This record gives sequence, structure tokens and C-alpha cells, in this order.
Amino acid sequence: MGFLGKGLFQGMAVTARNFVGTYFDRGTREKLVTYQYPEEKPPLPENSRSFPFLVYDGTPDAMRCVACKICETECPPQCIYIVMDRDEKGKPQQRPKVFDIDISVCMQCQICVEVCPFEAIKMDNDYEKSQYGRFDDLIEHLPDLLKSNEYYNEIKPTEAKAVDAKLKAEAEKKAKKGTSKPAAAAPAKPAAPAPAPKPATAPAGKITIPEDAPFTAEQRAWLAGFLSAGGVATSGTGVSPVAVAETTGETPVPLPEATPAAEAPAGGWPWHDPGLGMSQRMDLVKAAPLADKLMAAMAQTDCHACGYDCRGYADAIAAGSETDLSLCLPGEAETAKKLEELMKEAGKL
Amino acid sequence: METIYQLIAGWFAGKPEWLPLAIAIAVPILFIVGVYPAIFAYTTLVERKALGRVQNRYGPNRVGRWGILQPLADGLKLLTKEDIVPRDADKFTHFLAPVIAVIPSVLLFAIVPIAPGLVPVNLNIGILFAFAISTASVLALFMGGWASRNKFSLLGAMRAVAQVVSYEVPMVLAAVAVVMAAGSLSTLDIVKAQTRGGLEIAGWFVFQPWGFVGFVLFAIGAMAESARTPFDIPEAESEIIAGYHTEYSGFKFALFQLGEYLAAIAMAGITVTMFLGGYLGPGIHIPYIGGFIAAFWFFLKLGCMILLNIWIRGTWPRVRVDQLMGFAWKVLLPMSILNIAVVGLWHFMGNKVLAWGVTAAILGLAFVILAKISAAGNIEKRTYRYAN
Repeated sequence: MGFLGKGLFQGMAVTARNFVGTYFDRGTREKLVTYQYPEEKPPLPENSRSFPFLVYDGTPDAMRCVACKICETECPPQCIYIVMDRDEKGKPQQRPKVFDIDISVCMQCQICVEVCPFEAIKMDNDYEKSQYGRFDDLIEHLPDLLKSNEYYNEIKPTEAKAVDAKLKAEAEKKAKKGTSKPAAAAPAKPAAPAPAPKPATAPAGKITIPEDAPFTAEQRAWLAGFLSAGGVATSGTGVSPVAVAETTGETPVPLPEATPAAEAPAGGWPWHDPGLGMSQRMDLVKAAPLADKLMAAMAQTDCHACGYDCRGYADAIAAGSETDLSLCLPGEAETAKKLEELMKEAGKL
Repeated sequence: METIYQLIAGWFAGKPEWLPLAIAIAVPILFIVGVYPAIFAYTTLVERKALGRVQNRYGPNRVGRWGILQPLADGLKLLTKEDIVPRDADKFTHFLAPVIAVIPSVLLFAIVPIAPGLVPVNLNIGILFAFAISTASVLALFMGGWASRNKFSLLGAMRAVAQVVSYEVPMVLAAVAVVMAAGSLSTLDIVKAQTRGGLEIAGWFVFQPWGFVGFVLFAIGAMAESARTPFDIPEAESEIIAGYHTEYSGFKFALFQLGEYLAAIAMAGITVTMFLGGYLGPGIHIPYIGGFIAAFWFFLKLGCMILLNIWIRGTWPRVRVDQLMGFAWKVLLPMSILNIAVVGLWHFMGNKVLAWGVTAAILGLAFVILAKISAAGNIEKRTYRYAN
């Protein structure tokens, strides 16, 4: 039945239903949809993510991160800054001393999570990160970033369960191996039995790169390698390793003789660059000695997961003091396969 | 006023003669100035909360429990805002307009009775006074729009004048029907004319066919007069920003709001008085507390009318200018004129049951015919100049 003004009353009925409905909503949020934000928060989907955090097992000291810097390298907006911890002798410890994430730069892409071989960095879902300062307040430091595995299990149960299962399987595998070869990845392993080529003095007749030249550490290393390979004869002093260390912004630890490895000769190891692919790195070491080839097969992150840095591990394998070829975690299966191949080629396996 | 004077005159024997008179004058003034603005303040809160619920959200609920202090916060905010007057504005008129907007609205309450014998001023021309005063509020709107020297303000003011003048006509004619039935222009007499039965409900004019039609006509007119949705084209923010109060900020804006809401509340009070039996209701004849019960019924009915206004505001869309005018002149005006004739018929028919049926039939038939006519006018085949 239609009459003039029927629609008006139908409209009144609709609004009345909605008005009354809000008082009988009882949390279904069908009629009263508002979340009163600071007090009520909508449940987040498990896969929601905000910014990365670092996972630790048990206590914050037992963090999973080994300061391998893969995430720092891979991070597209370069918002991660890592400095590896060293003891008073300068020996690298397998944990970061500084781990900063600038959340004003972070674009929440999760690439750091995907590249991390240690399951150490994960995406948080805490979105309440606003601060009063635009600069320092928006940089998260190591203590802010560290969160327990329990917290990880709480916010992302499915993902965390899978990660826990994977880590457990790895630990069991390692334990089995450990019966034949104790403490494969123990950090207490004596570092680098084989002495590395020591850049005691810079070769004469090299172009000096002025220390205030606007180059990054990588560019500097590459330039140095290029210049020395080209053999451009000039006079002057070479770039000292300490100077290189200083320009990289890392804590300029005065390297004592006790830590023989870790620093490239002035010529540099041009393959010592995690940005290069495996085939590119292998091209660079075609004519190099075995140790260099082995080193080039590794992931070049100096992560110390094996107990050495890349140079040290390569030298140890070449010297025969290290027989386990599967210790390079960032390199994963690719590196292990390549190392085996190289050792076979050299007739040492 | 008179009731209060008679009540207290005996207490002041031996005192100066003017003292009881002054008190009798002061009490209603204080009541109007104190109670109705408080009702206004909480009407804004209730309105915002109810509109929120209609739109599936909470209304204001942050200032105090249930947002109970929200009107206070609004007032403080408006008080501390910068008062901006346009450079080219007519400054004196611009200043005067919001003041004038409030005065007629406050004056309207003078003739609204809240209990038996309790009306601020028992004018024998009460209803006439109400219309004379309420029309004056359009002056304030036009002053504000004109003085702002802003085309949107002026457009809003022009619309306001056209609308108020148009809707005044059916509204007054609807009131004429009531005046005819009650035989008096005094609001107290109009309420008394609705007395019937022990419960004091059956006699309300709204329960008679002509009274119901008159009630609808008057309520529509009152809504249009106070420029409330769906008749808020004078301040249609999607078309002309805020109409006549575009150029007003701070407390002047608050005064405009106050005037508008007070007018709406006063109109609701007059509607209650004329059609819903005013203060009449069960229990008003109980000795001693009957007066309070009567006041309770009055304010309950007033609240219901205000809620109806809010409900309508939350539901209906704004009418277009041409629809607005067409509705007033083509539908409301014929109905109200017919309504006057029907009241005459009602008055002269002895058998009230028969009269009820006859008048209802006449008015129903008229409504159907008007509906057909206006519907026929609306269905127009659209022609396109270039698309065909």
C-alpha cells in the first residue's frame, strides 16, 4: 500500500531500528561499530606487521642475532645499523654491540626477516610507535628491539611455531654432528689458525685516495683494488687498514696482532662484497689461490656463525684444520655445495 | 506571574507594596533565563548523542561521564575563540544580529504554561503574541546575512526569509483552527479547553481529526520556522556553507545557535500547549503535588517533541528549494484552509461521534487528492537536449 509520505515513515523506522539496536549491540559491532581506540583495540590479524624486532631465547643476553649484517646490507631504505660486539682483545663476539633501526625510514617491507638465516629478526605488530621527537626518538636501539620468543609466539603463533620447529630440527642435527666433531659452531673456537696475508705496509707506488674524498667504504675498497690492479705508478702512502676501518664508521678497534684475519690487504678482496652474486664472485677469483676461491664461495657477511670470519674460515679449510664445509649459514646450501666442489677440484676431498 | 503574586502577597504584609510585585516578576524571568537555556544546552548533547546512535556510533562521551559536561566544554571553546568580523561587514548590524536572534526566542516562553495557572504572562492574546514575536526572528537572520557582505550569507538569509514567510501562513492557519475550537487566544484557556475525563488525556486536540491534521501542519511549520532539518536550506552547508552565520565565530555563533534552539524548544512548547494538552495528564488534580505532576507532564511532552525533532533530523534529507516552496503553498496551505472549515463543521455538529467520522473522511479525502495532484506533478518525462 502506497501513500504520500510512506517513504518518510520507512526512513524513520530504519533510523529507529539503528538507534535502538546500538543499545543491544553487546559487542557484536553490527549496530555500534566504533572501537573506542585507546581503550579498545581491534584484534590484529596474525599476519599484520609493523616494524622489525629482535628475538631472544630466555634472557635478552641469549639473542639470536649474530651481527652478520645481512639485513643491514639487504635493507632497501638502509634503516638498519649494526656494529658487532668485540671483547677487549678485539675478538669479534657473535652478537651486535649496536643494533639500530630508524623507524622513520623503515618501510616495513620485511626483507630483513626474509634474509635472516638465524630467525633473529621478525616483524612486530605493535603500531603505537609515535614519539615526541622527530630524530633520535624514532631510532630504536638494541634494548628496545629485543623481545622474547614467548612474545613472538604470542603475536604470531603459527609462524613462531614453524620457526621453533625448524630451529629445534637444526639444533638436533648439529648435536648429532657434534658427537663426531664437538662444538661445530661454538664461538669459543680458536680463531683462524692460518695467518692471513698481512697488509703490514702499503705497496709503494700507489695513488692515494684522500681521506676526505666522498667515498663509502665499499667504493673506497673497490677503488683501492682497481688502482693497485691497474698498477698506476705514483708516489705516496697507501691507505692503511685502520683508515679504512675508520671511514666505515665501525668502532675503530686498533687491531692487535692477536687477530690476524678480518682486514683486507690494501688491494682488497674485490669479491668480499655480499652484494655480488656467487657467479660474479667466482669470476673474480679464477686465478686466485684456493683459499681465496673458498672465501669467495662464502656469503661475505663476516657473520662469525662458523666461528671465524670469512677469511679465517676459508684459510682454515684450505689449511685442513676445518673439515666441516656446511658452517656458512648465510651462504646456505649454495655455499656448502660450492665449497665441496672447490675442495674436490683441488683434490683435497 | 499573577498566581505567584497572589501566593506571596500575603507574606509581605507591612512591607513595601512593590516588593511582592518585584518578586512575582523576577521569578518567571529567572526561570526562563535559567531553565530553558539549560534545556538548550542538554538538547545539544542529547541531539549529538541520538544522532550518533542513529548513525551507529557513540556520540560525545569523553567530557565527564556519558559526556555530561560536553555543553560546558562547547561553551568554553566558543567563548575562547577569536571573534572575527569581516573587513567590509556592516559592523554594527553584524554585532546586533545575534543579539536580536536570541530575544524573540526567549520572549516566546512568556506564554508557555507549565502548570495550572502557572504561565509567565497570561496574555489574553497569547497565540497572537507568539506569532508576532516568532516572525521577528527572521529579522535577525536577514541582518546577519546582509551585514556579513558575503554572497553565501546573503543567499542563506534570502532563503530564510522566503522559507519563514511561506511556512508562517499554514502554521498560523493551523493555529486558527485551535483558537476556534478553544474560543480563546490565551494559552491557559486553550489548555483548559482540552480538559476531559479523569485522566485528562481524551480531550487533547490531537485526538480529533482536525486536531491531528493541525498538529502535523503546525509541527511542520514550526520545524521550518526554526530552520531545522529537513527545512535547513538557509544554512545548508553543502550548498551555501553555513548560510547567514557563515561569517560568525565564537560567542556570536553560539548566540545564533542559542536563538535557533530556543526557538525550536519554544515552538515545541507551543505545539504541546495547543495540541498535546499542555500540562494535562493523569494525576494533576491530586492536592498539593498536582502542580508538580502537571509540570512533569509538560516537560515530558516537551522532551518528546524535541526527541521527535531530533529523530526527524537524523532521518530525512533536506528538501530542495522549489520542493520547499511547492510543499508550503500547494499542500500545506490548502490543507490548513480546509482544516478551518472542518473545525467549523465540528463545532456545529451535535453528535461528536458522527462528527469525528465525517471530519476524518473529509480530511482523508483531501489528503488523497492532494497526494495525487502533487504526485502527478512530480512524474515528468525527462528530456535530454543532446543525448537523443
